[in-house]
Amino acid sequence: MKVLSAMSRIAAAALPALSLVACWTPIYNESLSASAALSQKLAGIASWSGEIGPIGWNSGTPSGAYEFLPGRFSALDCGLLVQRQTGNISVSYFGQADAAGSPLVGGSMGGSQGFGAGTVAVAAGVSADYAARVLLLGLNGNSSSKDLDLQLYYRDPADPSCSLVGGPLGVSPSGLSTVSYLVAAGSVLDPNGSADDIELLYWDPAGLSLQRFGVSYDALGSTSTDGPYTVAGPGIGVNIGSRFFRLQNDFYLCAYTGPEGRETCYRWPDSGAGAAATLAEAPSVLPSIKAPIVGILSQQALILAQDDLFMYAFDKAGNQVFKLAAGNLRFEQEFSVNGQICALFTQVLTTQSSNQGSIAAKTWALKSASVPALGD
Amino acid sequence: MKKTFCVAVAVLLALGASAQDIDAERIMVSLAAEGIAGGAALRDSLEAALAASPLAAAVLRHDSGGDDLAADAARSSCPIALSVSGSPTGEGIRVDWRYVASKGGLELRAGFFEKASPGPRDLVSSFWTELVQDMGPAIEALPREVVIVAAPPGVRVEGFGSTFSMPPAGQVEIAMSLPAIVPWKARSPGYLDASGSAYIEAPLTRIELPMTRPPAWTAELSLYGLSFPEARAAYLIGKRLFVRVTITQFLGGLDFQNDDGEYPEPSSFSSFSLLQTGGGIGTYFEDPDRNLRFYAAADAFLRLDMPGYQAFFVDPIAPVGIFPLVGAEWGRETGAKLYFELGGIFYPYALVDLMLASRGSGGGDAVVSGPGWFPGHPGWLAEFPVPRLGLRIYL
Repeated sequence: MKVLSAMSRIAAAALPALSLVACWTPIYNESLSASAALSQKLAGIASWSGEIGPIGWNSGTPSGAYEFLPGRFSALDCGLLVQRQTGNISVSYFGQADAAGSPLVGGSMGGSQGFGAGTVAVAAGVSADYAARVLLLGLNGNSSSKDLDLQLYYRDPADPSCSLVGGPLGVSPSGLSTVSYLVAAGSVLDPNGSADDIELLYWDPAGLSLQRFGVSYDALGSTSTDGPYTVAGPGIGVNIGSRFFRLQNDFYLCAYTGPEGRETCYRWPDSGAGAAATLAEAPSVLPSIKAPIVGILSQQALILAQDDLFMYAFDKAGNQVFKLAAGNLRFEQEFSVNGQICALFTQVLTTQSSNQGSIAAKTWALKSASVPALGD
Repeated sequence: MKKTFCVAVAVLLALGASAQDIDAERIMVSLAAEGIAGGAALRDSLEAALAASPLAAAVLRHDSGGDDLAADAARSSCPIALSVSGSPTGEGIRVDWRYVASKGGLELRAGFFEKASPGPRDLVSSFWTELVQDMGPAIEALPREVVIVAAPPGVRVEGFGSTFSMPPAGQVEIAMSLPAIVPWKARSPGYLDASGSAYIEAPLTRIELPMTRPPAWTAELSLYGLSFPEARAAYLIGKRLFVRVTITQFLGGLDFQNDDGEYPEPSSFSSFSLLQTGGGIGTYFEDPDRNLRFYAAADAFLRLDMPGYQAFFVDPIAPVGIFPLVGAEWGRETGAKLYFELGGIFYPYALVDLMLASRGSGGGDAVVSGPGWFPGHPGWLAEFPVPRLGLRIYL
C-alpha cells in the first residue's frame, strides 16, 4: 500500500514533465535492418558485388523507394535510378562521376536524355535486360491526345560513359490506337544473351491486348512484332505501373482490380502454344501471393514477390516455398552471362539531414540456383 | 581572575586525564544546605562543577528530599547518587558528601571539607574540587553487572562503554553499572547502519542489536529515452554495488514530437519492431540510508530485430550497444524510489552508413531519432544524451 501510494505520487509528478520531452526514438529502421541481414547472406555467396556512392544529393529531399539498374556488372560505375509510382515512372542517371569528375546523380532522364519537354510516363513499364542495356518506357507524348509512343533506349556496355546511347528507338507498334494505354511490360530472357523478346500488355477500347516485340541487341533497331492477341482477363485497371512475368509460358501479373482496389496476382496458364502464347485462357487468382511479383527464377520455376519487408518465393501454383527478410534490398531480375543464369539484387540507400542528403547504390549478383539457399 | 581561571582549567583537565578509562555515568545529586545563606547558588555551582566533569554523562537534581535518593536515582537510570550536605561552622562552611550506588545503596565514596564561606568567584573555580575529584573513584567502585549484547558476527559496535567487533559467536558479555541508558551505533558491510539507545536495568539482560540487511533485489519500470517502457531487475551486492539485467521494448512507446500543425495530427505513440536486452554493473556513491543517492553504471545490450513480427535476428546494422550512464535515485519511502539516468550509447561494430540512413529518409519510412548528437566513424557510432526515468522498487 505504501509502495502504491508512492508510485501514484511519483507518476503524478512525472507525467506532465514527460509529455514535454518524450520524443526519443531508436536509431532503427526495420526495412534497412532486414536488408542488412540479407546483404550479409549475399556477401557470402555472391559471385559479384559493387557499390556506387554515397554521393551528395542536394537537389531536394530524396523520397520514396528507388530501384537501381546497374549499367554493367563487371565494373559498376553507373546505372539508373527508377522510381515506380502508380501511373508514373521516373528515371535518373546515377554514376560515380562523369569524365570531368563531377558526380552524376539526380538528373532527370526525361530532360537530359532526349525525352521531349512535357513528356510524361503515363504507364509504368520498365524492363531492363542483362547489363541494363535497354530501357523500355511507355510514354505519352502528348497528354491531351493520349497518343501512345514507345521509346527504346539502350546503353552500350562498351561505352565507358554512363549516358544512354542510341536515343529513342521510336518503336511504333502496329495495332496500337491513339487511345491505348500501356498497362505493363515484360521481357523473355534469352539465355544466350543475344536477343530478348519484349512484351507489352496494353489496354484499348477493344480490351486487353498482348503484343510481343523481338529485339536484337546486337542490331538495335531490328525489331519485329507479334500480335496483338486479345487477352482474356478481369477488369484490370490501366496505369498500374507494373511488370508482368512469364514462367514456362505461364504469365503472371499483379494488378489493382475490383472495387476494393486491392492488388491481386493472376496467372494465365500455358495455352500450349509455347512462345506464341496468347493469354487467351481466363486467368486464375493466386490468393496466397499478396505482395507484388518482382521476378522469376526461371531454372527453379519460382515466382518471387516482395513487399516492404519480405521477399517470398512461390511455385507455379502459388504455394509459398520460402521467404526471407529483405527490406529495401530488392531482387531486380535474372540475367545471363555465358549461358549461366544469374540473379541480380540491388539496394538504394538514401540519407537526409536538413536539406542535404546522399545516395548510394549496391548490387549483388549470384547464381540463380543459389537464391533458395537465402531463405529463412 | 586569570589565575583562578587557569587553576580551574587545570583541575578539570587533570580530572579528564584521570578519567580516560572510566565510563561516564549518569548521576543524581541532592544538596542539603540548611542554615547557609545562598543555598541556591551553592546548589547551582555544585551541579555545574559535576556537569563539567567528563565522568558525568548527565547530572540530575533530586528535589524530593534525601531519604529516597538512591531509589529515585535508580528509577532515573542513574547508577550513582550523590548526597551532599552543608553546614555552617564558626568562620566558614563544612561540606560532607557521600557517593552511593543507586542499586543496593552501597556507599562508594565519602568525604568532607571545611572552607571559608565561598564568594561567587570561589563557587565557579575551586570550591567543589575535592568532591568532584572523588567522582572517578566512586564510579570505579560501582558494582558491575554483566549484560549480553548480541548482533551478527563482524558488526562493529560503538557504545556499551567501548568500541568492539562482534565475535563469531554473535554476542559479547559486558560488565557495566546498572541501571543504564546506553546509546549505541552499529555498522557492518553486509547490513544497513543502525543506531539506538538501550535501557538496561537488570543483570544478564540480553540486548539484540536490530541489524537489517540491505535489500538484495530491485524490480524496476522505466521509460527508455523517456518514451519506451522497459523492465529491469537488479541484484545488490553489499551496500553499493549492483548488477542488473534489462529488457527494453520499442514495440510501443510515447511520442510527443511537435506535430508542427501536421494534419492529420500524428499519433502520440510510436512503435518499432526492435527489442534490446542486456545487463550491466554499477555502483552507488552513497549508502542505502540516504534519501538521495547518486550512482554510475554501464549497460551492454543486444539489439534484436523482429521485422514485421515475422522474423527474429540480431540486428546486423548495430548488433550491440554499450550504455555508460550516471544516475540519481530519490525516495523517502524505503520501498520505492524515483530515478533518473543520463548517458550515451556507443555502438561498436556498427554499419555507420546504414545507421545514418536509419535516422534519415532511407528505406522510405525511416524516422529521425533524437534529439541528440551522433558522432561517428567507420565502424562505430555514438548517440547521446539518452535519458531514462523510472521507478525502482526495493524488494
